[in-house]
Amino acid sequence: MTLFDAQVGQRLRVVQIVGGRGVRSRLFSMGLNPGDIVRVLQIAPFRGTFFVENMSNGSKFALGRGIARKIVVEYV
Amino acid sequence: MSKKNTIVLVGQPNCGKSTLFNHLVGFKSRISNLPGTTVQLEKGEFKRKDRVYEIIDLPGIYSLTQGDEAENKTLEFLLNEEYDFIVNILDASMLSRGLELTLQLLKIGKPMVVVLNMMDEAKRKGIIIDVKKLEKLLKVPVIPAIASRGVGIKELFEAIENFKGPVLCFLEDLPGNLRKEADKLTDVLKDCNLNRRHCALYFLATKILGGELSLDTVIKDKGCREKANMIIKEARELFLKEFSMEPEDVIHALRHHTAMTLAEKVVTFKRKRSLSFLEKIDSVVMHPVFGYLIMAIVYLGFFYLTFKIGGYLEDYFTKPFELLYTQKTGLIYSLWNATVDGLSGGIGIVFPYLLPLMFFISILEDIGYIPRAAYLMDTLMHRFGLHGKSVVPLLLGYGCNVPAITATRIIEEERNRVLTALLVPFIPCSARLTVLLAISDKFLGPLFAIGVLFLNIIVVGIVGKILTLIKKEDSPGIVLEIPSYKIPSMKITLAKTWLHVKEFIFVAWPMLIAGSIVLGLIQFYGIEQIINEILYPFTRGLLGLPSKVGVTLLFGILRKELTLIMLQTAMGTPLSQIGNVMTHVQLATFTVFTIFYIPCIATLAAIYKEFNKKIMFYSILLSTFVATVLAITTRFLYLWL
Ligand SMILES: Nc1nc2c(ncn2[C@@H]2O[C@H](COP(=O)(O)OP(=O)(O)OP(=O)(O)O)[C@@H](O)[C@H]2O)c(=O)[nH]1
Ligand SMILES: [Mg+2]
Repeated sequence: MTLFDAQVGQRLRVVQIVGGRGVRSRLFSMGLNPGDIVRVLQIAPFRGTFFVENMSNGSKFALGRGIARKIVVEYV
Repeated sequence: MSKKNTIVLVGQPNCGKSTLFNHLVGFKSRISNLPGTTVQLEKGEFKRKDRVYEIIDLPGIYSLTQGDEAENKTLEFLLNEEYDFIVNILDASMLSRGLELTLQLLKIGKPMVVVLNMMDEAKRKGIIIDVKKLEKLLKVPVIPAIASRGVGIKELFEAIENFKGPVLCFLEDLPGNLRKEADKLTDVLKDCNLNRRHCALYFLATKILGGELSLDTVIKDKGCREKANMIIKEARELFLKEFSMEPEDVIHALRHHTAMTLAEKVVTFKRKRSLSFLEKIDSVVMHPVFGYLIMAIVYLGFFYLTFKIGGYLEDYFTKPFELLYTQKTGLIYSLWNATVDGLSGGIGIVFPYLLPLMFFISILEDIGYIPRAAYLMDTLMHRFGLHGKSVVPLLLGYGCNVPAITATRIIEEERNRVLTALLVPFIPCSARLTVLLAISDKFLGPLFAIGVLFLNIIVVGIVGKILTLIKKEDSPGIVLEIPSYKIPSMKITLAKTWLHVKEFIFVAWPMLIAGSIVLGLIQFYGIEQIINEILYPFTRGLLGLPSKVGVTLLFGILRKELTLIMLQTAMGTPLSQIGNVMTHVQLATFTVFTIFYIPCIATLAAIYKEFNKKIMFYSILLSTFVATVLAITTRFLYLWL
């Protein structure tokens, strides 16, 4: 599954980030890495933007739905 | 040592670089609780004991990797410019991520000191860092600090002054084959006359091999680039065959692992992290329903308070000036009256609104609401083929359009940047808000102000939609860090407000006075009438305004406040009595036109500088067209209502 399929409040582990080099290196350097535990804090209406916390380092992000689809996750 | 030392402040976005910078050189760099506040290089001088340092504040950068416009500026500077010392600032509450950048900076091969900033934040989150141990592991001085309170600055400069070196330079860890290829590329770089230490060249080589750095950033010579390109292609193929992974993923994973291990060695958690009050707020502020409710309240509350406070102050500030007007006629007396118009207009009309406006904007920025608004608006912005990041420059535009245009640099996609920059001038800046609020306060009432602000948002939406239809393209999603809330420091808020007030008093006010005097002059010699007559078909015919406003609208392009201030001189009556010479319909039409037409000279210059002449002309045409349509609509709608 990807982050796009996640529900609010679920804790998930990032398996990998697919997609182009640009997106991957951006997310990596912002501190979203395979192995990190993330949690969806909020989802904007119409399954819009995802507000996500990276529990491994406490950083938080707004991620567009297109980006959320590129983040492969699994249940912890 | 008498040589001037150049020190660069480098760190990830929002770690407090500019806050530290401002502490050293006086308030010069913009600060706010928003990753990507600084988008251009800022320089300043700092003297300590008998030494002079040149301090350079750079835009934040997550990793030494190609990124958005602002980040590339930093990258270019770090890799190609001359400087003596790196001060690497880290957000202590996010140590392991910060260390990933630190590990890369250490490989540039320059003297370096690490500043662990936001120690108060770390403490609040229950994170304890063994500074001595970190120092030993990194082999450079590490200074704990709280930049917003000036804690740690003395220690930082003691560390810089006592820095003995040797400047270590670590080679990037690479698996087997990649190391050999990096060696080869290093040799090419050396042949290309890149005058650097071996380790720095090796570092550049790994960056290029990993696709984190484009060749053009490093090598300007074309022949060299071709040679390098061959090695890069060969290396990637070899690597893919052996590991079936992209080199960048491997390099990154290694670095990430090293940083995590480092952090684990020095960090202990005091208590199980419980959600603090500040963090709980987000469950309401970012809520899919309540979030929008709060946004509406914040927006309206913001203007309502400005309106109330401004109107209150204005009454006090304008009264004394009205006594200065003279009834006598003659050149000297009309010039005197014009001067009073400018004087009182600046202090009596503009200043009362500017003050609360800037104060509230500053507080919103420092709390950290702007990135949150960007999140909330993201879905809506997608309907326009833009994304939430465009909201950041648009919101900053309410203060002043000029920094808002520069702020478009945080948008990665060039197309989105241009479109956002074309939308920014539609956001009424403090000058135009003053015109709106002052006229509403006197004549048209608060509902008119709210109506115009509402109309403004709709217009931005419609124009945005049309523009994006012309330049259709799917925009990738938003990736924006949402920083934790910070309680605004009164000192910084006041300093930021003062920065605007200072600009107003020393730049805008003199312009308002000069503008009024010039108008008084050309009025006396009858030139004004000629201009007004030329504009007559437009002002009178199309918009139904008194033809006398023609010249004020022309001057308004210099500075938007001028439209209102000069209205006094043009109509020959102080603002409080303008209602006797202009009908409400005319005032409404005038206000709407002022809000939307041609951005002021400074904004146009900013667009020209950031983009090009073509975009600037588009902006002029677009805004004049929209303003005219809306003003005509207002004219007839108001009559009809
Ligand atoms: N609690 C706390 N807040 C701080 C500290 N230093 C800075 N801040 C706040 O952190 C926010 C970001 O500060 P800036 O100085 O703008 O950060 P920056 O590193 O220049 O950010 P960019 O220009 O976006 O890269 C502001 O709201 C500051 O007031 C600190 O030591 N403690
Ligand atoms: Mg900054």
